[in-house]
Amino acid sequence: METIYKDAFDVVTDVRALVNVPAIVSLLDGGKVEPSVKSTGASKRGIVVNCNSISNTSQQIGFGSINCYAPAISSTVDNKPVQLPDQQTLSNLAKAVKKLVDGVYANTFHIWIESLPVIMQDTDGSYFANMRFRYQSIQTNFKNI
Amino acid sequence: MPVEKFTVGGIEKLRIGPAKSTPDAAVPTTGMIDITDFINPGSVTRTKNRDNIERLIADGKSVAYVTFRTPGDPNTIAIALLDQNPEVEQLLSNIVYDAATTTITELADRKLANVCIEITTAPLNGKKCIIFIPNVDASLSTADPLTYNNVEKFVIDGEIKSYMTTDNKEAISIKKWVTPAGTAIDSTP
Repeated sequence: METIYKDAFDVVTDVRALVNVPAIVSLLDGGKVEPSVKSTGASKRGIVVNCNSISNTSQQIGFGSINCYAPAISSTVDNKPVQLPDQQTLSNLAKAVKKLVDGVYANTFHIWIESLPVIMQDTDGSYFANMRFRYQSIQTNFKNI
Repeated sequence: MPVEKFTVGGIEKLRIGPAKSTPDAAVPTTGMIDITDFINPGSVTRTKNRDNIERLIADGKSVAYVTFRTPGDPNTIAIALLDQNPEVEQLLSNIVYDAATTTITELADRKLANVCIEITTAPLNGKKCIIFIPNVDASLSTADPLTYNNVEKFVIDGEIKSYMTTDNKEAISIKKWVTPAGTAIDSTP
């Protein structure tokens, strides 16, 4: 039997497939669900799925994030321009995504949200809702015992 | 010249099968199930117990006048499996397995299975060790809860029994070192 194991590429592919569905894409205003990095600018909505680690054990345990981006809202406070997170869009996006990936038992893996969405700011100033997931898979034919 | 090493660790292959009616030092050619892929890493433990000493010490002395040996616990082997393979379960416990519907019926009467176990260790320092235990009384139990972030384990607990060698000595197990390719090693100095 062929050895089946998951690396970070497989984790991102598996998780992205759960999120990259019409119900989510329609919320993105033309934005995309992308693996690992966001290719579009700060003015575009988007979702990025990434994987930080996956263990090489017979019961593989992986961790990663799903980041939901929404353009910041320009506002003026005390006569100064400020960029504020679009709370409502971020919240709606994050809630819609969480439903699709929390406690999913797929054929070759199992995933759940370990840490619920929080707002974070990216280096380009854009805001995103970050949720961390835990991913588990059984590696067949594991040899290092 | 470097000192000859006889290091034992890691598992390359672990097979389990029914013990022969007359256990001997030869690994059975049929009925052996390779359970290497099911092993919970770090769970295979061989325990070699020792006998106890009872001392008779004369009054005013500290050193025993005579010592008696009383048998200690038997040697044991424990193996935990991540997989509840029906073939393995059938070998070790009293079940009826219907492969057509993948249904296992566990019967009320528990069973103590008589098995043989062959462990091939991972090659260390250019040598691997084939441990063969021809006669083991083994029972099957489970460990760990059914939960979303873990799996329920099968635990094989074996008590090592003896067998007769071809030259009529009562023995319990064999350790044989071979090269990684499986060739016998001549360690004659």
